Amino acid sequence: MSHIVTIKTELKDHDLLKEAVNALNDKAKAANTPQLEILPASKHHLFSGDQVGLGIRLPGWNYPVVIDEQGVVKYDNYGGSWGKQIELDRLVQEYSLEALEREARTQGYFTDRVETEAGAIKLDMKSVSG
Amino acid sequence: MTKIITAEVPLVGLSLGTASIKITTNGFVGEACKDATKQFQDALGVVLDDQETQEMYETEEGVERLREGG
Repeated sequence: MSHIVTIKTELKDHDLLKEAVNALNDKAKAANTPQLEILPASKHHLFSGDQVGLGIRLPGWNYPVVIDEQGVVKYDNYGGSWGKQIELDRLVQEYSLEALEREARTQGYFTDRVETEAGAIKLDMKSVSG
Repeated sequence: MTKIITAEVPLVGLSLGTASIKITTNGFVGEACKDATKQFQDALGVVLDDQETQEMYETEEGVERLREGG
Protein backbone atom coordinates (compact mmCIF):
# COMPACT_ATOMS: atom_id res chain seq x y z
CA MET A 1 0.00 0.00 0.00
CA SER A 2 1.44 3.32 -0.93
CA HIS A 3 -1.35 5.78 -1.49
CA ILE A 4 -4.81 6.34 0.02
CA VAL A 5 -7.49 8.55 -1.51
CA THR A 6 -10.90 9.26 0.02
CA ILE A 7 -13.67 10.26 -2.40
CA LYS A 8 -17.31 11.45 -2.33
CA THR A 9 -19.39 10.24 -5.27
CA GLU A 10 -21.20 12.68 -7.58
CA LEU A 11 -24.03 11.22 -9.69
CA LYS A 12 -23.16 13.16 -12.87
CA ASP A 13 -23.47 10.42 -15.50
CA HIS A 14 -27.15 9.66 -16.17
CA ASP A 15 -26.36 6.69 -18.44
CA LEU A 16 -24.34 5.16 -15.63
CA LEU A 17 -27.20 5.89 -13.22
CA LYS A 18 -29.54 3.90 -15.45
CA GLU A 19 -27.03 1.03 -15.51
CA ALA A 20 -26.89 1.15 -11.70
CA VAL A 21 -30.70 1.01 -11.51
CA ASN A 22 -30.76 -1.97 -13.91
CA ALA A 23 -28.12 -3.77 -11.83
CA LEU A 24 -30.08 -3.18 -8.61
CA ASN A 25 -33.27 -4.36 -10.32
CA ASP A 26 -31.57 -7.59 -11.42
CA LYS A 27 -30.75 -8.25 -7.76
CA ALA A 28 -34.30 -7.28 -6.69
CA LYS A 29 -35.81 -9.68 -9.24
CA ALA A 30 -33.60 -12.50 -7.96
CA ALA A 31 -34.56 -11.71 -4.35
CA ASN A 32 -38.23 -11.07 -5.24
CA THR A 33 -38.12 -7.61 -3.64
CA PRO A 34 -39.52 -4.27 -4.94
CA GLN A 35 -37.67 -2.70 -7.87
CA LEU A 36 -36.57 0.85 -8.69
CA GLU A 37 -38.25 2.77 -11.48
CA ILE A 38 -36.56 5.17 -13.91
CA LEU A 39 -38.78 8.15 -14.75
CA PRO A 40 -38.36 10.48 -17.75
CA ALA A 41 -35.78 13.26 -17.49
CA SER A 42 -38.29 16.05 -16.97
CA LYS A 43 -40.15 17.88 -14.20
CA HIS A 44 -41.01 15.80 -11.14
CA HIS A 45 -43.26 16.65 -8.23
CA LEU A 46 -41.81 16.48 -4.72
CA PHE A 47 -43.66 17.52 -1.56
CA SER A 48 -41.94 20.89 -1.42
CA GLY A 49 -42.27 21.65 -5.15
CA ASP A 50 -41.25 20.58 -8.63
CA GLN A 51 -37.69 19.62 -9.59
CA VAL A 52 -36.19 19.04 -13.06
CA GLY A 53 -33.87 16.15 -13.86
CA LEU A 54 -33.72 12.39 -14.16
CA GLY A 55 -36.25 10.87 -11.78
CA ILE A 56 -35.78 7.60 -9.95
CA ARG A 57 -38.47 6.10 -7.77
CA LEU A 58 -36.86 4.10 -4.97
CA PRO A 59 -38.63 1.17 -3.26
CA GLY A 60 -41.03 2.43 -0.61
CA TRP A 61 -40.41 6.13 -1.30
CA ASN A 62 -43.37 8.55 -1.56
CA TYR A 63 -41.57 10.93 -3.94
CA PRO A 64 -38.93 10.31 -6.59
CA VAL A 65 -35.26 11.22 -6.25
CA VAL A 66 -34.37 13.82 -8.90
CA ILE A 67 -30.82 14.15 -10.20
CA ASP A 68 -29.93 17.13 -12.38
CA GLU A 69 -27.23 17.38 -15.08
CA GLN A 70 -24.63 18.54 -12.52
CA GLY A 71 -25.24 15.48 -10.37
CA VAL A 72 -27.09 17.39 -7.65
CA VAL A 73 -29.53 15.02 -5.93
CA LYS A 74 -32.86 16.42 -4.76
CA TYR A 75 -35.28 14.40 -2.66
CA ASP A 76 -37.75 14.67 0.17
CA ASN A 77 -38.04 11.62 2.39
CA TYR A 78 -38.92 13.60 5.53
CA GLY A 79 -35.97 12.28 7.48
CA GLY A 80 -36.77 8.69 6.59
CA SER A 81 -40.54 8.79 7.21
CA TRP A 82 -41.37 8.94 3.49
CA GLY A 83 -38.59 6.58 2.36
CA LYS A 84 -35.67 4.77 3.91
CA GLN A 85 -32.28 6.44 3.40
CA ILE A 86 -30.64 3.05 2.88
CA GLU A 87 -32.40 2.76 -0.51
CA LEU A 88 -30.61 5.89 -1.72
CA ASP A 89 -27.38 4.59 -0.17
CA ARG A 90 -27.78 1.45 -2.33
CA LEU A 91 -28.18 3.53 -5.47
CA VAL A 92 -25.09 5.65 -4.74
CA GLN A 93 -23.10 2.53 -3.87
CA GLU A 94 -24.06 0.72 -7.09
CA TYR A 95 -23.36 3.84 -9.18
CA SER A 96 -19.92 4.10 -7.56
CA LEU A 97 -19.14 0.45 -8.28
CA GLU A 98 -20.35 0.72 -11.88
CA ALA A 99 -18.21 3.84 -12.39
CA LEU A 100 -15.12 2.15 -10.95
CA GLU A 101 -15.66 -1.06 -12.95
CA ARG A 102 -16.17 0.86 -16.20
CA GLU A 103 -12.93 2.77 -15.64
CA ALA A 104 -11.15 -0.45 -14.66
CA ARG A 105 -12.23 -2.13 -17.91
CA THR A 106 -10.99 0.91 -19.87
CA GLN A 107 -7.58 0.64 -18.20
CA GLY A 108 -7.38 -3.15 -18.64
CA TYR A 109 -7.89 -4.22 -15.02
CA PHE A 110 -9.68 -7.38 -13.89
CA THR A 111 -12.27 -6.66 -11.20
CA ASP A 112 -13.65 -8.66 -8.30
CA ARG A 113 -16.36 -7.60 -5.83
CA VAL A 114 -16.43 -8.96 -2.29
CA GLU A 115 -19.14 -8.00 0.21
CA THR A 116 -17.75 -7.14 3.62
CA GLU A 117 -19.40 -5.94 6.83
CA ALA A 118 -22.62 -3.88 6.92
CA GLY A 119 -23.22 -4.19 3.19
CA ALA A 120 -19.93 -2.56 2.19
CA ILE A 121 -18.24 -3.83 -0.98
CA LYS A 122 -14.50 -4.28 -1.53
CA LEU A 123 -13.63 -3.97 -5.22
CA ASP A 124 -10.22 -5.33 -6.22
CA MET A 125 -8.84 -4.19 -9.58
CA LYS A 126 -5.76 -6.07 -10.80
CA SER A 127 -3.64 -5.13 -13.78
CA VAL A 128 -3.69 -7.55 -16.71
CA SER A 129 -0.07 -6.94 -17.60
CA GLY A 130 1.08 -7.68 -14.06
CA MET B 1 4.82 -7.27 -9.63
CA THR B 2 1.03 -7.31 -9.94
CA LYS B 3 -0.53 -3.89 -9.59
CA ILE B 4 -3.68 -3.79 -7.48
CA ILE B 5 -6.07 -0.94 -6.82
CA THR B 6 -8.63 -1.60 -4.09
CA ALA B 7 -11.79 0.45 -3.58
CA GLU B 8 -13.72 0.14 -0.34
CA VAL B 9 -17.28 1.25 -1.07
CA PRO B 10 -19.43 1.54 2.08
CA LEU B 11 -23.23 1.37 2.09
CA VAL B 12 -24.64 3.12 5.12
CA GLY B 13 -24.15 6.88 4.99
CA LEU B 14 -22.92 7.06 1.40
CA SER B 15 -25.83 9.20 0.19
CA LEU B 16 -25.61 11.62 3.12
CA GLY B 17 -21.86 12.03 2.84
CA THR B 18 -21.21 10.60 6.30
CA ALA B 19 -19.37 7.68 4.65
CA SER B 20 -16.97 7.90 1.72
CA ILE B 21 -15.06 5.66 -0.68
CA LYS B 22 -11.46 4.80 0.03
CA ILE B 23 -9.04 3.80 -2.75
CA THR B 24 -5.68 2.23 -1.98
CA THR B 25 -2.89 1.12 -4.32
CA ASN B 26 -0.42 -1.72 -4.09
CA GLY B 27 2.50 -2.62 -6.31
CA PHE B 28 3.07 0.79 -7.85
CA VAL B 29 6.43 2.52 -7.74
CA GLY B 30 6.51 6.01 -6.25
CA GLU B 31 4.34 8.62 -7.94
CA ALA B 32 2.89 6.05 -10.38
CA CYS B 33 0.20 5.23 -7.84
CA LYS B 34 -1.13 8.79 -8.11
CA ASP B 35 -1.37 8.53 -11.90
CA ALA B 36 -3.11 5.16 -11.56
CA THR B 37 -5.84 6.46 -9.24
CA LYS B 38 -6.47 9.78 -11.01
CA GLN B 39 -8.95 8.37 -13.58
CA PHE B 40 -10.83 6.50 -10.87
CA GLN B 41 -11.10 9.67 -8.81
CA ASP B 42 -12.43 11.58 -11.82
CA ALA B 43 -15.00 8.85 -12.53
CA LEU B 44 -16.40 9.14 -9.03
CA GLY B 45 -16.41 12.75 -7.95
CA VAL B 46 -14.74 14.85 -5.29
CA VAL B 47 -11.50 13.95 -3.51
CA LEU B 48 -11.91 14.56 0.23
CA ASP B 49 -8.48 13.39 1.34
CA ASP B 50 -5.26 12.28 -0.33
CA GLN B 51 -2.59 10.63 1.79
CA GLU B 52 0.87 9.66 0.65
CA THR B 53 1.93 6.88 2.99
CA GLN B 54 5.43 6.15 4.21
CA GLU B 55 5.52 3.05 2.00
CA MET B 56 5.31 5.24 -1.08
CA TYR B 57 8.67 6.82 -0.29
CA GLU B 58 10.22 3.58 0.87
CA THR B 59 9.42 2.04 -2.52
CA GLU B 60 11.00 4.96 -4.35
CA GLU B 61 14.19 4.70 -2.31
CA GLY B 62 14.28 0.98 -2.98
CA VAL B 63 14.20 1.59 -6.72
CA GLU B 64 16.91 4.23 -6.47
CA ARG B 65 19.21 1.83 -4.58
CA LEU B 66 18.69 -0.83 -7.23
CA ARG B 67 19.54 1.64 -10.00
CA GLU B 68 22.72 2.79 -8.25
CA GLY B 69 23.78 -0.78 -7.64
CA GLY B 70 22.93 -1.95 -11.17
